[in-house]
Parts: sequence; C-alpha cells; structure tokens
Amino acid sequence: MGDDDSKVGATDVLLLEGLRQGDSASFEALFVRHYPRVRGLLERMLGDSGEAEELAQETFLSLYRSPLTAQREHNLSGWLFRVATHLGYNALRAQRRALARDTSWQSRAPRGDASPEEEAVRAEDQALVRRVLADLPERDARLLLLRHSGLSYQECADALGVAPASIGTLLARAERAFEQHYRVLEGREKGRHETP
Amino acid sequence: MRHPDDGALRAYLDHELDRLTAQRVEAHVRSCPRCERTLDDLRGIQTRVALRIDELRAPPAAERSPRQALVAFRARTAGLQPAHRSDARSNDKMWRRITTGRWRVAWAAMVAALAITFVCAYAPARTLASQALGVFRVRKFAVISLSASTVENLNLLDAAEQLLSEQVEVIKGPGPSTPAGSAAEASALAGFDVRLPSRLPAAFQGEPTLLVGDTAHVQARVKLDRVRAILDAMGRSDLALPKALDGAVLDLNVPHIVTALWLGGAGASPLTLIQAPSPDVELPAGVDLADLGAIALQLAGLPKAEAVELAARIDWANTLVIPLPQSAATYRDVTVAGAQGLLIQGSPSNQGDQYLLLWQRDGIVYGFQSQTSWSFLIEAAESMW
Repeated sequence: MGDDDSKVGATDVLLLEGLRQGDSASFEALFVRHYPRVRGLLERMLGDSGEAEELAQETFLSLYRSPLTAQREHNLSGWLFRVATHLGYNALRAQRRALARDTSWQSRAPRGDASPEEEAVRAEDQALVRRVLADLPERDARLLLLRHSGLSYQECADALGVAPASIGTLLARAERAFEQHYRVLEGREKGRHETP
Repeated sequence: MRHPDDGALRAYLDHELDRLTAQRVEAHVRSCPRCERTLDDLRGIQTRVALRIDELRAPPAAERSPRQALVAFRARTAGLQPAHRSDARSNDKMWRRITTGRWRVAWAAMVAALAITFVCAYAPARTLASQALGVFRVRKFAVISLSASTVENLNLLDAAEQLLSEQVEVIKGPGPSTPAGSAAEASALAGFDVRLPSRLPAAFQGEPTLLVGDTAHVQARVKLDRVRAILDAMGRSDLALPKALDGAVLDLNVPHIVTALWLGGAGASPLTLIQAPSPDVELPAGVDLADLGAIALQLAGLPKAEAVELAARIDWANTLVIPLPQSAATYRDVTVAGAQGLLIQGSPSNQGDQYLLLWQRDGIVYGFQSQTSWSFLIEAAESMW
C-alpha cells in the first residue's frame, strides 16, 4: 500500500470527517501526523520504549474505535494527548508499585553505543527526573511533560482541560517548582553515595 | 504597561502571545531592568528544565518511524472496521467497540467513583464492624441536573481520579473477562442470578453474547494534607474537608459485572444489558455522608448553598446519585418491575440519541442501553422476571 499523497496538507477536521466515514487513508494520515509526539510524550513518562510504543498504539486504537464529532483542529491533538497521559499515568502507577518492590534501577532502554558506566549514570539521571515529576502535583507534572513533548499552549490547555490563557502562569510555576525540587533531591542523592 | 506577570513573560518566551501584546511586553522589558531580570530568570529555568525532561527520551536509534508503527497498528486492527456513522455501521468486531463504548464505561466509572466516595472503613476498626452505622446499598437513583455553566468546570471523575491517584493501591486488579455460553453459566461464574429479557423486538432475537467481568479490589489511604493540596491546585481551596477522613482507608470491591450484547440485524445498532450486584459497604462512625456528599456535589459544579441543601435531602446510604448535564441528557422516573428506575436520554457525542434504562431489584443494579429507541426497553426489562 503506497502513501496517499492527497491527504498530505488536509486539516485534521477534514481527516476526521473522512475517518467518520470509514476512510482508512484518513486515519492513516492522522496517525502519521500525530504519532511522533504522542510516542515522545509516553516515552518521557515511562522511560520504557516498549511500553511507550504499546500505549501509543492504544491511544490511536481509541481514536480508531470512537468517532469524534467535528471539532476544531486543535481539539484532536488535545483529545489524543488527554488519552495518552491517562494511559501513561495508569501505567506509571502500576510501574511504581512494581518498583517499590524492586530495588534495582536498571535503565530499560539502553543506548547501543554507551559504556556500562555511561548507562548507569544516564539511568540515575532519568530516575532522578522521574522522581521529581512524581513528587510534583499531577497537573504540574502533566503540563511539563506535554509542553516539553512539543505541544502548543492551546494543545496543552485542551489536554488538561484548562483555559489556554492560564498556561503561561501554570507553566512558569510548574517549572520553578520542578527546578526547586530537583535541586533538593539532587542534593540528597549526592549526600547518599550509594545507588539504591 | 504595568509589569507583566510571570505568565505573560513565559508566554512571551514561547511566542504564544498575540502580536500586539508581545510588542507591548517587549517594549516594557527593554526599559525595565526588573522585568528584564525576571525574563532572563524564566528563560534560564525553561532551558534547564527542558534539558532535564529531554533526558527522559530514548535515543533516536531506538525509535520507530511513524510508518513502521502504522504497520504494527494495521496488524493489530486487522478485521476491525474504523467506526463510522450509524446508518452505515458494520457488525464486524462490534462487540469490542460496544464494551469500550462511552456509556458503558461512564456507567461503570460512575458506580465505581461514587462507591469510592461512599466507602470508608477504618482499618483498625474493622474488627469493630458491629459498630458500623449501616450498609450502603443501591435502592434508589437520584439525578443531579447540571446547567451549562456548572458543566464547564465539571470534572468530578477527574477529581476523584486525581484525589486518589497517589494513594490507591490495587490489591487485586481485574483480569480478563470470561465469556459465558448461557445465563446459567454466567450466573455460576458471576455468583448471582443473571437474568435476560424474554421479550425483545424482532431485530434482537437469538442468544446474546455474554461476558463476565473480573472482580477487583482496590484500597486507598486518605492523606488529608495531600487531598487539600490537590484541591488547592484545582482552585478549590473553598472546600472544607471533614477531619474524620484523615487516615481513612477507602476499600472498594468491584463485583463481577455481566454484560450481554445483542448485535441486531443488518443496520440495527446493538443492544447492551449490564448487571452487577450493588456494592455492599460498611459505613463507619464519625463520617457524615451528607458532608461528603455536599463536597462531591460542589466538585460536580454546584454552588455551595445548593450542594449543602441537596446533600441533606438525599438518602446517601441507599441512593446512587447521577450527575447529568442538561445540555446532553434528559431523564424521567419510571417504574420497572415495581422498582424505581430512571430512563435517561442522552446525546453524549451528538451522534444521535442513546437511551439508558437504570433500575435495581433485589440488590442487583441493571443498565439497559439502546441506540435506536427506548419504547421496548421497559417491557423487555420487565420480561426478565
């Protein structure tokens, strides 16, 4: 099956209409267009690229199954990211419970070209960032993940269910809180001298 | 222009301001050292945080291109038709679509969310069960009708999810559902008498597909300071929480939920019947359900005075409360097999009307959903006895 170039450039609204009429080329165009950022977000949330891939597929499966009403373009990505963060957080909670029982902090997505030492350092860095995010209020953590996965203010607002005009303030606050807490946890880590 | 706040400066950094405002901010910053410093500060934080969060990404080599992911996706959905309009719907794999359909999920989520709100059991006091005030059992339904303005901030389920997300432990998660070949088999699996209607329209003759959901056991320990922090972040510092909630262990046992699905003939939308035992919960001393109910109603968007008044009138120990936005649904009280029920007509996604008949009898709660018409639902429901 070759690429359907007639869909390139069509807005999400048009493609959604096509999807509702069962046109699979429309769905595929939507998939290719939005998949990278959805996948990116889930990866940042979960760290495990296998699981991120799985949940990204789940997100698009929801779109595939449930017809949306004709909405303005920014709403589709808002909807997609809302579903994706919901799935991601469910998985994170399950992960955390498993991690609480497992004391090894192995990175699950090893870089092929890195040395074991670099691997370990990278894994620790990632674990620290995740811990900071886990300690923040959930909406702040969601906003940071969404924004740094490349979403516009409007898209973040749609995904979170807040007014777009508030994103600037929420973001500034969330980033300050992130940095402050990061410094606290980093300080504690240095004082500990052992990898859990 | 007055000094722009952090939000405006941040939006300016992200090029998210309209041109006029951006120009004004830029002009101000150029001549105001204090704001220039704040802007630099924010820029530094943005860069550092971005770097940190970017560290979470896998290296490019590990990624799949969207095209490759699409191939994998096609393999998953082989045989599934993308959903399309009701007049051209296909029956292939319709089962999977209905069990993830919005009404069914919404109903199950409602029951679970409201049960979570009402279930409190102090862990140390479990041995003192004889001191419990009573048992929550669904005997009636009550609808809270929400006007458009309250619906704008409606996020009761979101709030419940957030409030408990940090504190919930899944003691036993639900496993996969089990298909059953007959009502008798479903009854044996589910542990209660599964009933099916004997009178249905011609399009729905024949045996339905039966699925018995798995049970789940979930526990949450309430930390009042965290709950307050979350409500504050939601902008709801106005809600006063009863101290008796602190340290409470919320215990929810999700029973076997049985779903029966009739596909109907060509062109007919499917019919779904859901049945499950009403959750049986012990209510502890020290927590006033009307207080909790008033809070839940305020989270659902009702103003405080109205919420308190309404909460005082509801028999919380015996009533399943359902919030319905006026713009999306209407309802009326009906009698089903001598019991109080509700017929809800909704257009949840402007896809055409959906009908949900809700009633309970002998401790089992039933939901009967149709997407074409409702006139046969009550008769069909009564034919189950």
